[in-house]
Amino acid sequence: MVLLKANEITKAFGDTKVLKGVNIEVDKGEVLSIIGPSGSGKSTLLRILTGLETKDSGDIEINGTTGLVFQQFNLFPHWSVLKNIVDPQINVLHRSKEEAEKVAMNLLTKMNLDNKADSYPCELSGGQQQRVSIVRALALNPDILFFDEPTSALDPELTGEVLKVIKQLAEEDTTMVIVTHEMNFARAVSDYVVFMDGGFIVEEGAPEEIFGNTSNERTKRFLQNYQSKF
Amino acid sequence: MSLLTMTGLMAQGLGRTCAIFFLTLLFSLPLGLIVALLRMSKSKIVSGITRFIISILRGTPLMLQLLAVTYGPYYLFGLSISRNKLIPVVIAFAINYAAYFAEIYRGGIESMPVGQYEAAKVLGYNKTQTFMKIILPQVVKRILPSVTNEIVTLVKDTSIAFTVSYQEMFTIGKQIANSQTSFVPFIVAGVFYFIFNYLVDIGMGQIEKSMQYYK
Repeated sequence: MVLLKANEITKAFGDTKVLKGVNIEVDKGEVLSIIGPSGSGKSTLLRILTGLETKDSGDIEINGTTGLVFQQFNLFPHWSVLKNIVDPQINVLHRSKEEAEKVAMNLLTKMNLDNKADSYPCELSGGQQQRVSIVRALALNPDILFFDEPTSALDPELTGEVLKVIKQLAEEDTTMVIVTHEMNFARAVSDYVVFMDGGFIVEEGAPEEIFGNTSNERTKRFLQNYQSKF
Repeated sequence: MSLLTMTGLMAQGLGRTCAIFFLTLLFSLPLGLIVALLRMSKSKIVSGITRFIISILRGTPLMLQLLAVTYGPYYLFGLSISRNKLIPVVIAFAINYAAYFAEIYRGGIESMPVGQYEAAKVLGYNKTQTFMKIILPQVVKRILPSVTNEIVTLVKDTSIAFTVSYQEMFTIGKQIANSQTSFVPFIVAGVFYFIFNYLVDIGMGQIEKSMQYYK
Protein backbone atom coordinates (compact mmCIF):
# COMPACT_ATOMS: atom_id res chain seq x y z
CA MET A 1 0.00 0.00 0.00
CA VAL A 2 1.40 3.36 -1.05
CA LEU A 3 1.32 5.87 1.80
CA LEU A 4 3.12 8.71 0.10
CA LYS A 5 3.50 9.64 -3.49
CA ALA A 6 5.22 12.81 -4.61
CA ASN A 7 5.29 13.70 -8.27
CA GLU A 8 7.64 16.11 -10.04
CA ILE A 9 8.16 18.36 -7.02
CA THR A 10 9.92 21.61 -7.78
CA LYS A 11 11.00 24.41 -5.50
CA ALA A 12 13.06 27.54 -5.94
CA PHE A 13 14.24 30.08 -3.39
CA GLY A 14 14.56 33.24 -5.47
CA ASP A 15 16.68 32.31 -8.45
CA THR A 16 18.07 29.18 -6.83
CA LYS A 17 16.30 26.03 -7.95
CA VAL A 18 16.52 23.68 -5.02
CA LEU A 19 14.29 20.90 -6.34
CA LYS A 20 14.06 20.31 -10.06
CA GLY A 21 11.38 17.66 -10.35
CA VAL A 22 11.61 14.98 -7.69
CA ASN A 23 9.53 11.82 -7.56
CA ILE A 24 9.29 9.72 -4.47
CA GLU A 25 7.08 6.90 -3.28
CA VAL A 26 6.83 5.30 0.15
CA ASP A 27 5.01 2.06 0.90
CA LYS A 28 3.55 1.12 4.24
CA GLY A 29 6.21 -0.35 6.51
CA GLU A 30 9.02 0.87 4.32
CA VAL A 31 12.09 2.75 5.51
CA LEU A 32 13.35 5.19 2.93
CA SER A 33 16.62 7.06 3.40
CA ILE A 34 17.53 10.17 1.51
CA ILE A 35 21.25 10.82 1.29
CA GLY A 36 23.27 13.41 -0.54
CA PRO A 37 25.63 16.34 -0.08
CA SER A 38 24.61 19.56 1.67
CA GLY A 39 22.50 21.74 -0.59
CA SER A 40 21.24 18.78 -2.60
CA GLY A 41 17.65 19.64 -1.69
CA LYS A 42 16.97 16.67 0.57
CA SER A 43 15.98 18.70 3.62
CA THR A 44 13.80 20.99 1.50
CA LEU A 45 12.04 17.95 0.09
CA LEU A 46 11.36 16.72 3.60
CA ARG A 47 10.07 20.12 4.68
CA ILE A 48 7.71 20.19 1.71
CA LEU A 49 6.44 16.69 2.43
CA THR A 50 5.73 17.64 6.05
CA GLY A 51 4.03 20.91 5.17
CA LEU A 52 6.67 23.25 6.59
CA GLU A 53 7.46 24.56 3.13
CA THR A 54 5.30 25.08 0.06
CA LYS A 55 6.14 23.51 -3.26
CA ASP A 56 6.24 25.49 -6.50
CA SER A 57 4.78 22.69 -8.58
CA GLY A 58 4.09 18.97 -8.52
CA ASP A 59 1.66 16.75 -6.65
CA ILE A 60 1.83 15.19 -3.24
CA GLU A 61 -0.50 12.47 -2.13
CA ILE A 62 -0.30 11.31 1.45
CA ASN A 63 -2.61 8.63 2.78
CA GLY A 64 -2.48 9.21 6.49
CA THR A 65 -0.89 11.42 9.08
CA THR A 66 2.73 12.47 9.32
CA GLY A 67 5.16 13.19 12.12
CA LEU A 68 8.53 14.91 12.00
CA VAL A 69 11.64 14.62 14.13
CA PHE A 70 13.87 17.67 13.83
CA GLN A 71 17.63 17.95 13.72
CA GLN A 72 17.44 20.41 16.65
CA PHE A 73 14.83 18.36 18.61
CA ASN A 74 12.67 21.47 19.13
CA LEU A 75 11.20 20.28 22.39
CA PHE A 76 9.22 22.92 24.27
CA PRO A 77 11.67 23.96 27.02
CA HIS A 78 9.07 25.34 29.43
CA TRP A 79 7.25 22.01 29.61
CA SER A 80 8.33 18.84 31.34
CA VAL A 81 9.17 15.81 29.22
CA LEU A 82 5.76 14.33 30.03
CA LYS A 83 3.85 17.46 29.10
CA ASN A 84 5.79 17.74 25.84
CA ILE A 85 4.38 14.35 24.91
CA VAL A 86 0.94 14.62 26.53
CA ASP A 87 -0.21 18.08 25.45
CA PRO A 88 -0.11 17.46 21.66
CA GLN A 89 -2.14 14.28 22.12
CA ILE A 90 -4.84 16.13 24.04
CA ASN A 91 -4.72 18.96 21.55
CA VAL A 92 -4.74 17.01 18.29
CA LEU A 93 -6.24 13.60 19.04
CA HIS A 94 -8.47 14.90 21.87
CA ARG A 95 -7.32 12.10 24.12
CA SER A 96 -8.10 12.34 27.79
CA LYS A 97 -5.23 13.36 30.03
CA GLU A 98 -5.09 9.89 31.62
CA GLU A 99 -5.00 8.15 28.27
CA ALA A 100 -2.38 10.54 26.88
CA GLU A 101 -0.20 10.03 29.95
CA LYS A 102 -0.52 6.28 29.61
CA VAL A 103 0.58 6.43 25.97
CA ALA A 104 3.47 8.73 26.93
CA MET A 105 4.65 6.57 29.81
CA ASN A 106 4.49 3.39 27.72
CA LEU A 107 6.64 4.94 25.02
CA LEU A 108 9.04 6.50 27.53
CA THR A 109 9.45 3.15 29.27
CA LYS A 110 10.18 1.50 25.95
CA MET A 111 12.97 4.03 25.40
CA ASN A 112 14.28 3.73 28.96
CA LEU A 113 13.30 7.31 29.64
CA ASP A 114 10.45 6.75 32.09
CA ASN A 115 12.59 8.13 34.93
CA LYS A 116 12.89 11.40 32.97
CA ALA A 117 9.14 12.08 32.68
CA ASP A 118 9.24 14.94 35.17
CA SER A 119 12.53 16.40 33.97
CA TYR A 120 12.77 19.45 31.79
CA PRO A 121 14.43 19.26 28.37
CA CYS A 122 17.39 21.38 29.56
CA GLU A 123 18.19 18.68 32.11
CA LEU A 124 18.62 16.01 29.44
CA SER A 125 21.52 15.16 27.17
CA GLY A 126 21.13 15.78 23.45
CA GLY A 127 20.58 12.09 22.81
CA GLN A 128 17.87 11.90 25.47
CA GLN A 129 16.21 15.05 24.10
CA GLN A 130 16.13 13.57 20.63
CA ARG A 131 14.64 10.32 21.93
CA VAL A 132 11.97 12.34 23.75
CA SER A 133 11.18 14.20 20.55
CA ILE A 134 10.80 10.83 18.80
CA VAL A 135 8.38 9.76 21.53
CA ARG A 136 6.50 13.05 21.15
CA ALA A 137 6.05 12.35 17.44
CA LEU A 138 5.19 8.67 17.94
CA ALA A 139 2.54 9.44 20.55
CA LEU A 140 0.36 10.93 17.83
CA ASN A 141 0.42 7.61 15.91
CA PRO A 142 1.65 9.05 12.62
CA ASP A 143 1.34 6.81 9.58
CA ILE A 144 4.67 8.10 8.32
CA LEU A 145 7.46 9.38 10.52
CA PHE A 146 9.96 11.77 8.95
CA PHE A 147 13.45 12.41 10.32
CA ASP A 148 15.48 15.46 9.32
CA GLU A 149 19.11 14.59 10.06
CA PRO A 150 18.19 13.31 13.52
CA THR A 151 21.76 12.89 14.72
CA SER A 152 23.48 15.87 13.09
CA ALA A 153 23.17 18.08 16.18
CA LEU A 154 24.49 15.40 18.53
CA ASP A 155 27.94 14.73 19.88
CA PRO A 156 29.35 11.64 18.15
CA GLU A 157 29.10 9.51 21.28
CA LEU A 158 25.37 10.25 21.54
CA THR A 159 24.33 9.36 17.99
CA GLY A 160 24.30 5.64 18.78
CA GLU A 161 21.40 5.71 21.22
CA VAL A 162 19.23 7.65 18.77
CA LEU A 163 20.10 5.44 15.81
CA LYS A 164 19.34 2.39 17.93
CA VAL A 165 15.84 3.69 18.60
CA ILE A 166 15.20 4.36 14.90
CA LYS A 167 16.48 0.90 14.07
CA GLN A 168 14.13 -0.60 16.62
CA LEU A 169 11.24 1.31 15.03
CA ALA A 170 12.27 -0.03 11.63
CA GLU A 171 12.14 -3.55 12.97
CA GLU A 172 8.59 -2.86 14.16
CA ASP A 173 7.69 -1.92 10.57
CA THR A 174 7.25 1.80 11.24
CA THR A 175 7.04 3.68 7.95
CA MET A 176 9.87 6.18 7.95
CA VAL A 177 11.55 8.67 5.68
CA ILE A 178 15.00 9.58 6.95
CA VAL A 179 17.28 12.32 5.72
CA THR A 180 20.69 11.38 7.07
CA HIS A 181 24.44 11.71 6.77
CA GLU A 182 25.01 8.44 8.61
CA MET A 183 25.87 6.19 5.68
CA ASN A 184 26.43 2.98 7.62
CA PHE A 185 23.17 3.53 9.42
CA ALA A 186 21.28 4.24 6.19
CA ARG A 187 22.71 1.09 4.70
CA ALA A 188 21.71 -1.01 7.67
CA VAL A 189 18.24 0.33 8.33
CA SER A 190 16.80 1.24 4.92
CA ASP A 191 14.66 -0.72 2.51
CA TYR A 192 15.25 1.86 -0.14
CA VAL A 193 17.83 4.59 -0.59
CA VAL A 194 17.54 7.77 -2.60
CA PHE A 195 20.69 9.70 -3.50
CA MET A 196 20.05 13.35 -4.27
CA ASP A 197 22.39 15.94 -5.74
CA GLY A 198 21.72 19.37 -7.19
CA GLY A 199 17.95 19.15 -6.80
CA PHE A 200 17.63 15.84 -8.62
CA ILE A 201 17.41 12.23 -7.62
CA VAL A 202 20.63 10.94 -9.12
CA GLU A 203 20.19 7.32 -8.18
CA GLU A 204 17.83 5.21 -6.13
CA GLY A 205 17.51 1.59 -5.21
CA ALA A 206 18.09 -1.03 -2.56
CA PRO A 207 20.88 -0.16 -0.09
CA GLU A 208 23.14 -2.91 -1.45
CA GLU A 209 22.88 -1.42 -4.92
CA ILE A 210 23.68 2.11 -3.80
CA PHE A 211 26.32 1.37 -1.19
CA GLY A 212 27.56 -1.95 -2.56
CA ASN A 213 28.39 -1.53 -6.18
CA THR A 214 26.95 1.58 -7.68
CA SER A 215 27.90 2.27 -11.27
CA ASN A 216 26.88 5.89 -11.04
CA GLU A 217 29.91 8.19 -10.98
CA ARG A 218 28.31 10.89 -8.85
CA THR A 219 27.11 8.45 -6.23
CA LYS A 220 30.53 6.83 -6.20
CA ARG A 221 32.29 10.15 -5.73
CA PHE A 222 29.92 11.18 -2.92
CA LEU A 223 30.35 7.91 -1.04
CA GLN A 224 34.13 7.91 -1.50
CA ASN A 225 34.26 11.48 -0.29
CA TYR A 226 32.34 10.40 2.76
CA GLN A 227 34.55 7.44 3.54
CA SER A 228 37.79 9.33 2.99
CA LYS A 229 36.74 11.87 5.60
CA PHE A 230 37.08 9.28 8.32
CA MET B 1 5.83 71.69 60.06
CA SER B 2 7.46 68.64 61.56
CA LEU B 3 8.98 65.86 59.49
CA LEU B 4 6.36 63.49 60.84
CA THR B 5 3.49 65.74 59.77
CA MET B 6 5.01 66.16 56.30
CA THR B 7 5.52 62.45 55.91
CA GLY B 8 1.99 61.79 57.12
CA LEU B 9 0.48 64.23 54.64
CA MET B 10 2.53 62.84 51.78
CA ALA B 11 1.71 59.27 52.75
CA GLN B 12 -1.94 60.12 52.18
CA GLY B 13 -1.06 60.51 48.50
CA LEU B 14 0.58 57.11 48.31
CA GLY B 15 -2.74 55.40 47.59
CA ARG B 16 -3.10 57.54 44.48
CA THR B 17 0.53 56.91 43.51
CA CYS B 18 -0.19 53.18 43.77
CA ALA B 19 -3.41 53.64 41.80
CA ILE B 20 -1.48 55.18 38.90
CA PHE B 21 1.14 52.46 39.15
CA PHE B 22 -1.12 49.40 39.24
CA LEU B 23 -3.76 50.68 36.81
CA THR B 24 -1.06 51.64 34.31
CA LEU B 25 0.41 48.14 34.50
CA LEU B 26 -3.03 46.54 34.33
CA PHE B 27 -3.85 48.29 31.06
CA SER B 28 -0.45 48.76 29.43
CA LEU B 29 0.82 45.19 29.69
CA PRO B 30 -2.03 43.64 27.62
CA LEU B 31 -2.29 46.74 25.40
CA GLY B 32 1.44 46.51 24.70
CA LEU B 33 1.02 42.93 23.50
CA ILE B 34 -1.75 43.96 21.12
CA VAL B 35 0.36 46.85 19.84
CA ALA B 36 3.34 44.49 19.38
CA LEU B 37 1.21 42.11 17.30
CA LEU B 38 -0.07 45.02 15.18
CA ARG B 39 3.50 46.22 14.77
CA MET B 40 4.46 42.75 13.48
CA SER B 41 1.43 42.55 11.19
CA LYS B 42 2.03 41.26 7.69
CA SER B 43 0.07 44.23 6.38
CA LYS B 44 2.58 46.99 5.68
CA ILE B 45 -0.08 49.62 6.32
CA VAL B 46 -0.97 48.28 9.78
CA SER B 47 2.63 47.78 10.84
CA GLY B 48 3.64 51.15 9.36
CA ILE B 49 0.93 53.08 11.19
CA THR B 50 1.67 51.25 14.43
CA ARG B 51 5.36 51.93 14.05
CA PHE B 52 4.65 55.63 13.52
CA ILE B 53 2.42 55.83 16.61
CA ILE B 54 5.03 54.03 18.71
CA SER B 55 7.71 56.44 17.55
CA ILE B 56 5.57 59.43 18.54
CA LEU B 57 4.81 57.95 21.96
CA ARG B 58 8.44 57.14 22.60
CA GLY B 59 9.80 60.29 20.98
CA THR B 60 7.83 62.87 22.97
CA PRO B 61 7.79 63.49 26.73
CA LEU B 62 5.24 61.64 28.82
CA MET B 63 4.52 64.96 30.51
CA LEU B 64 3.46 66.44 27.17
CA GLN B 65 1.28 63.43 26.42
CA LEU B 66 -0.32 63.72 29.84
CA LEU B 67 -1.13 67.39 29.24
CA ALA B 68 -2.55 66.53 25.82
CA VAL B 69 -4.81 63.80 27.20
CA THR B 70 -5.97 65.93 30.14
CA TYR B 71 -6.56 69.27 28.43
CA GLY B 72 -6.67 68.31 24.74
CA PRO B 73 -10.40 67.42 24.75
CA TYR B 74 -11.18 70.88 26.21
CA TYR B 75 -9.10 72.86 23.72
CA LEU B 76 -10.04 70.75 20.72
CA PHE B 77 -13.70 69.93 21.33
CA GLY B 78 -14.70 72.18 24.20
CA LEU B 79 -15.35 69.17 26.41
CA SER B 80 -15.14 69.74 30.14
CA ILE B 81 -11.96 68.66 31.88
CA SER B 82 -12.67 65.54 33.88
CA ARG B 83 -12.74 66.24 37.61
CA ASN B 84 -11.21 62.92 38.49
CA LYS B 85 -7.71 63.41 37.13
CA LEU B 86 -6.91 59.74 37.67
CA ILE B 87 -8.70 58.93 34.41
CA PRO B 88 -6.56 61.06 32.06
CA VAL B 89 -3.43 60.18 34.06
CA VAL B 90 -4.00 56.45 33.66
CA ILE B 91 -4.99 56.81 29.99
CA ALA B 92 -1.84 58.78 29.19
CA PHE B 93 0.42 56.50 31.23
CA ALA B 94 -1.10 53.28 29.88
CA ILE B 95 -0.77 54.38 26.26
CA ASN B 96 2.79 55.61 26.76
CA TYR B 97 3.93 52.48 28.59
CA ALA B 98 2.13 50.23 26.11
CA ALA B 99 4.40 51.68 23.41
CA TYR B 100 7.50 50.72 25.38
CA PHE B 101 6.14 47.32 26.36
CA ALA B 102 5.18 46.68 22.72
CA GLU B 103 8.78 47.04 21.62
CA ILE B 104 9.92 44.77 24.44
CA TYR B 105 7.33 42.13 23.49
CA ARG B 106 8.35 42.43 19.85
CA GLY B 107 12.00 41.90 20.68
CA GLY B 108 11.09 38.85 22.75
CA ILE B 109 8.79 37.35 20.15
CA GLU B 110 11.31 37.88 17.36
CA SER B 111 14.06 36.26 19.42
CA MET B 112 12.14 32.98 19.56
CA PRO B 113 13.77 30.26 17.46
CA VAL B 114 11.76 29.35 14.36
CA GLY B 115 12.03 25.69 15.39
CA GLN B 116 9.47 26.24 18.16
CA TYR B 117 6.91 27.42 15.61
CA GLU B 118 7.75 24.57 13.25
CA ALA B 119 7.49 21.93 15.96
CA ALA B 120 4.12 23.34 17.02
CA LYS B 121 2.88 23.34 13.45
CA VAL B 122 3.97 19.78 12.77
CA LEU B 123 2.33 18.63 16.01
CA GLY B 124 -0.96 20.19 14.95
CA TYR B 125 -1.24 23.32 17.08
CA ASN B 126 -3.06 26.18 15.37
CA LYS B 127 -1.61 29.69 15.34
CA THR B 128 -3.44 30.94 18.43
CA GLN B 129 -2.55 27.84 20.45
CA THR B 130 1.05 28.07 19.30
CA PHE B 131 1.28 31.66 20.44
CA MET B 132 -0.58 31.32 23.73
CA LYS B 133 0.76 27.94 24.89
CA ILE B 134 4.24 27.75 23.42
CA ILE B 135 5.57 31.15 22.37
CA LEU B 136 4.18 33.64 24.90
CA PRO B 137 5.22 31.78 28.08
CA GLN B 138 8.78 31.62 26.82
CA VAL B 139 8.69 35.25 25.68
CA VAL B 140 7.60 36.35 29.17
CA LYS B 141 10.67 34.72 30.67
CA ARG B 142 12.95 36.31 28.09
CA ILE B 143 11.60 39.85 28.48
CA LEU B 144 11.22 39.90 32.25
CA PRO B 145 14.47 41.83 32.94
CA SER B 146 13.49 44.55 30.44
CA VAL B 147 9.96 44.69 31.84
CA THR B 148 11.38 45.12 35.35
CA ASN B 149 13.37 48.07 34.04
CA GLU B 150 10.21 49.72 32.73
CA ILE B 151 8.31 49.03 35.94
CA VAL B 152 11.05 50.65 38.00
CA THR B 153 10.86 53.69 35.72
CA LEU B 154 7.07 53.73 36.05
CA VAL B 155 7.33 54.01 39.83
CA LYS B 156 9.34 57.20 39.42
CA ASP B 157 7.25 58.47 36.50
CA THR B 158 4.11 58.52 38.66
CA SER B 159 5.49 61.83 39.96
CA ILE B 160 4.78 63.36 36.54
CA ALA B 161 1.10 63.39 37.53
CA PHE B 162 1.88 66.60 39.42
CA THR B 163 1.68 68.45 36.06
CA VAL B 164 -2.10 68.03 36.09
CA SER B 165 -2.31 68.50 39.87
CA TYR B 166 -3.43 64.97 40.61
CA GLN B 167 -3.02 64.69 44.34
CA GLU B 168 -0.56 61.83 44.46
CA MET B 169 2.35 61.67 46.86
CA PHE B 170 4.80 63.82 44.91
CA THR B 171 2.21 66.49 44.10
CA ILE B 172 1.46 66.84 47.80
CA GLY B 173 5.17 66.93 48.57
CA LYS B 174 5.71 69.69 46.04
CA GLN B 175 2.87 71.72 47.54
CA ILE B 176 4.32 71.35 51.02
CA ALA B 177 7.78 72.28 49.73
CA ASN B 178 6.34 75.47 48.21
CA SER B 179 4.28 76.50 51.20
CA GLN B 180 7.00 75.71 53.77
CA THR B 181 9.92 76.78 51.54
CA SER B 182 11.53 73.49 52.51
CA PHE B 183 13.54 70.93 50.63
CA VAL B 184 12.69 68.16 53.10
CA PRO B 185 9.52 66.93 51.27
CA PHE B 186 11.66 66.10 48.24
CA ILE B 187 13.93 63.96 50.39
CA VAL B 188 10.88 62.25 51.87
CA ALA B 189 9.58 61.64 48.32
CA GLY B 190 12.95 60.20 47.33
CA VAL B 191 12.84 57.78 50.25
CA PHE B 192 9.27 56.74 49.36
CA TYR B 193 10.23 56.01 45.74
CA PHE B 194 13.29 54.12 46.80
CA ILE B 195 11.30 51.88 49.16
CA PHE B 196 8.63 51.38 46.50
CA ASN B 197 11.24 50.27 43.98
CA TYR B 198 12.97 48.09 46.51
CA LEU B 199 9.69 46.19 46.86
CA VAL B 200 9.31 46.07 43.09
CA ASP B 201 12.79 44.57 42.86
CA ILE B 202 11.95 41.87 45.38
CA GLY B 203 8.65 41.07 43.67
CA MET B 204 10.09 40.90 40.18
CA GLY B 205 13.03 38.89 41.49
CA GLN B 206 10.56 36.32 42.84
CA ILE B 207 8.77 36.12 39.49
CA GLU B 208 12.07 35.69 37.65
CA LYS B 209 13.08 32.99 40.09
CA SER B 210 9.83 31.13 39.52
CA MET B 211 10.76 30.84 35.85
CA GLN B 212 14.30 29.65 36.36
CA TYR B 213 13.28 25.99 36.30
CA TYR B 214 14.09 25.87 32.59
CA LYS B 215 16.62 27.36 30.23
